Amino acid sequence: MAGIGTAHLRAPEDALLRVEHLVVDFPVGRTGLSVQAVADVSFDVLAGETLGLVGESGCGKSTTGRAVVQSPPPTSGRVLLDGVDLCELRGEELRARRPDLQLILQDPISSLNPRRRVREIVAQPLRTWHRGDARGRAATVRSLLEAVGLDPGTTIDRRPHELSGGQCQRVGIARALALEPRMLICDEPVSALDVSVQGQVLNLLEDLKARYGLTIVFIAHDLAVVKSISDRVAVMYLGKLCEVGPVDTVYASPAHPYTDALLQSVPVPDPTVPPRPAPLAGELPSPLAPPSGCRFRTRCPRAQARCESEEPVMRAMGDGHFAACHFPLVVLPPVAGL
Amino acid sequence: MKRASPFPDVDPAGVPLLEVEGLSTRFRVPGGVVRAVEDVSFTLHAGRTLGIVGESGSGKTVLARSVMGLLPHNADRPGTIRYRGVDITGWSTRQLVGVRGPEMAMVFQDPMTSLNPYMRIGRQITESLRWHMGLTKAAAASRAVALLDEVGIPSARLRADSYPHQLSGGMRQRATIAIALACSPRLLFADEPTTALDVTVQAQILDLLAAEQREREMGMVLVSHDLGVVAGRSDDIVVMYAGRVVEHAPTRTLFAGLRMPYTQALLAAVPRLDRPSHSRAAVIPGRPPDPTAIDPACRFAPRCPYVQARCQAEEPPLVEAEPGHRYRCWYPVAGPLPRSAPAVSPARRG
Amino acid sequence: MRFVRRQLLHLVPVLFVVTFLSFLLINLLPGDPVITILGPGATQEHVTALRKELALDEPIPVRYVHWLKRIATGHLGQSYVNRQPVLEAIRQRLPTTLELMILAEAFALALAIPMGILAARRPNGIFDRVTTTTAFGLLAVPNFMLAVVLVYVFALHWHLLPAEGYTALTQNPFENLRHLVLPAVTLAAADVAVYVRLLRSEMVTTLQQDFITLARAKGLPDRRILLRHAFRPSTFSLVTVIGLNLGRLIGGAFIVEYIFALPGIGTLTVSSIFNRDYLVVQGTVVLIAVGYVLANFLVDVSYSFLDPRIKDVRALT
Repeated sequence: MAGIGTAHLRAPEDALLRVEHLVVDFPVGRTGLSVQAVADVSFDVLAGETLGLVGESGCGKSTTGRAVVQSPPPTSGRVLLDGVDLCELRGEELRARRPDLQLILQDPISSLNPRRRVREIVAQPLRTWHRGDARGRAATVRSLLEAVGLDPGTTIDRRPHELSGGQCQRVGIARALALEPRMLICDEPVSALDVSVQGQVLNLLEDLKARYGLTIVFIAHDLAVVKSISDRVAVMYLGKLCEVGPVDTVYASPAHPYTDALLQSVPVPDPTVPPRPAPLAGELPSPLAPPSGCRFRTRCPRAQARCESEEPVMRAMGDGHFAACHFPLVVLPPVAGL
Repeated sequence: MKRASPFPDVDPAGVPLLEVEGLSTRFRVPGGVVRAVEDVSFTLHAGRTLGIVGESGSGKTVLARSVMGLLPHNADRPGTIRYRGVDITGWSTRQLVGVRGPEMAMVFQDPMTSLNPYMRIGRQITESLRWHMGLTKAAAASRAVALLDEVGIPSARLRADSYPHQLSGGMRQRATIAIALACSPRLLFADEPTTALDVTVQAQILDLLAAEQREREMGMVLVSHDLGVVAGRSDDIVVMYAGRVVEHAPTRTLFAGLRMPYTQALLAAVPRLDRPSHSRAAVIPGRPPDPTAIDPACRFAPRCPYVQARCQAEEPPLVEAEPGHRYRCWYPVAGPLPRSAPAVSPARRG
Repeated sequence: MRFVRRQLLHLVPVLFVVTFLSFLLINLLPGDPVITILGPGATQEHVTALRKELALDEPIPVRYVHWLKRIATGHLGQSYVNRQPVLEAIRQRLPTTLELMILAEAFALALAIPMGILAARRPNGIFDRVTTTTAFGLLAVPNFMLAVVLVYVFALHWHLLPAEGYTALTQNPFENLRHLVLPAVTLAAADVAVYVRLLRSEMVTTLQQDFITLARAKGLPDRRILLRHAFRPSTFSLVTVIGLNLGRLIGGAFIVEYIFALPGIGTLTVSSIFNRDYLVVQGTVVLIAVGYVLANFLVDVSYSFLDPRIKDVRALT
């Protein structure tokens, strides 16, 4: 799925976040070689929308999330937040934009400073940005903790190790909300949590989104979790985008063979559904030497000669549904020319 | 020369592969005793798979390690473990050395940490072949390559000379399966064998385990937090909560007619592909109890939506109320929740 | 071995810096070497002449370059005290020091490795506690005291070993060994304590790793797990500290050499400092610096032999 192209992008003025031709290279030691972790990825998110970014390890989804918040900034490409390209901004200009865009990480415990109390952790961004006086900040911290479903009375003076994983993730979310961001980038926010606690955090994110009008990019490897929270979903493989579309459409009729294989691989908690044999053989090729043409072709059951020579470009598969594949799984409508 | 086995060459008919009775595992720690596993009993026959399901801290991993005697020095383990009819409960480490490998083997969760990073893959297989089966160096080496080939590692001869870090995650887990299968065990513990792997690789590894089990007629204990992984691949399921078995039934019975509220809540909480997007996740409020506390109550009572006074006063026993179906609840429910509506109130949060 | 070659290349600038710093340090020592050499009654002309001869009237960097040139051609100068060439003085005494160093480390490791492994087998068990206490006890005893006690017991009381002196290895290997046993044991005592503690704590950590549980699940006996699976991954701090100790011991162990009257580098250095025997001190300091750098180089190289992952990372860089 060497998915390139921008056919799936919507009108620039509608999008809160618009990422164009994002490329992130990582040097490999001192060999002079580099790995292209993200290779020409474009996507957009409308205000109030939740985009699920899904893929397996090594697909570049986390790197994409970090490149959006400019830590580290991408090698090339544009990241437009409200029409302003963050990659062009330097120093203080970029810093001034940071409160709008907050990152929530996977490991809830290690992403909090173990020596600080919850009160200090949540207040820290407020202090850094000189928001309010001490009394005002204390009140904000309490209301934030209540908003994420923590009882300030019992948790405000605790340190991270005295809280459960789910509670720590709530503290992390409260801290991210402190500066009233417009957008949250959540990188695997629930994958370290038990299934019963996962639901609590997912519901919380939905509630907060409604309450504060947040726009969310939700990065995860778990397809069912992504489905439960997203409006649109973008599937990545080996640094490229395969498929983008409304989550219910994509899951019901995936166009890209990789999306289909991912969905087939998810085990169903129902013993009357016999487990299907693994839909994909082999493993991820080395990102140092990605396959020519479509990057997925080495494992793709539908691959043909054309996939080796020509990189597929994003094209419409249906209403708002796009995929980068020469031989998609959906029957294209007769008007499906580009 | 193969080591002498303490077990009969042919098992008498009807003797189960593994019988566990009233097994508890406690760890002495500063400031108390952690009751990781309390009073667990189950039976496993050759060629069958027992799924053990639970969340972190439920005791599922400790249970598997207890049976193999893989516990730290501060552990106590009352109860009875009979393997192929022989009581191995009180066996010393020296005696168990003959059981582990040729009789029981284990596949661990994270192949990154469970393979010795300082030793070539081939060596990690040959050392048990040479120790247990008395193979010569050359015979062990060619057997190791054959095993790597069998578990689907391409260019096995080359890979035998690799170090673990030179393999991908899926290949590493295949290698640990080859290690486990080296001495042809009759019982395989697979402790979260796919949790650290990607979903497409997970399917491959589960297929491989199932194929090997069929081929070798092994008994298998499949430990997982994921009901989806266990559902299609086990004959019976044990659901654990806070160190106790709370429900134990044949897999189909359990999913169709579960009786324990915890099982019901857990099943409802699993995010599913067949639910529409933005459907509210069912949650289990609160969190599991302190494993050092001794409380004469149902361990799930503080989080149970159906809790009554008796649940807080008296711990229910594990009863076999229907043939083959045991559960630990005073007020059992009538089956899984209907799939559309979340029945556990999302309003209550811990 | 590309890595080893590159590492060796890296040593060159390090050696320049180290030798320059030691050169600087010696030149900052209080006292005028010229006065020391000529005696307090020297005439001004003599002093000026000698200063010129030794190039002491030049600025320090210039003198350093001169000195480097001389070293490069093998001329370390000669002692003012007995006119012995510095190189010869070092060559005479280095074998004693090296022998003592190797013997001391061999004793220390021969004891520390089994003790560390056994102590880690059951943390807080009886053996572990006894070992830990003994180790702290050994650390607390100053080595001059230990030396005196050892001499009293083994040399004066039981007459098993000589109290002092030295016989060259080439002359009589057995006598040579007899003379070195007590000083080596004295030096080893403190190192044993450190090595046992280091090895024990790293072994305890290693033994909690998943791959050890896997080795146990394979049905391997304890002994094999400890030696084949746990030992090698637990030797990193041990190797690092051995490297530092080797560097230190190349400079000789003055107190021990002095007590046992061993003609080693340590005694040479200290007596030269007292005598303001400027060129000899410079020679030994360079030797010590080079020793440290080489020892650390060996430690660095040995890491890649201990851990195959390091070798692969280094192959990339």
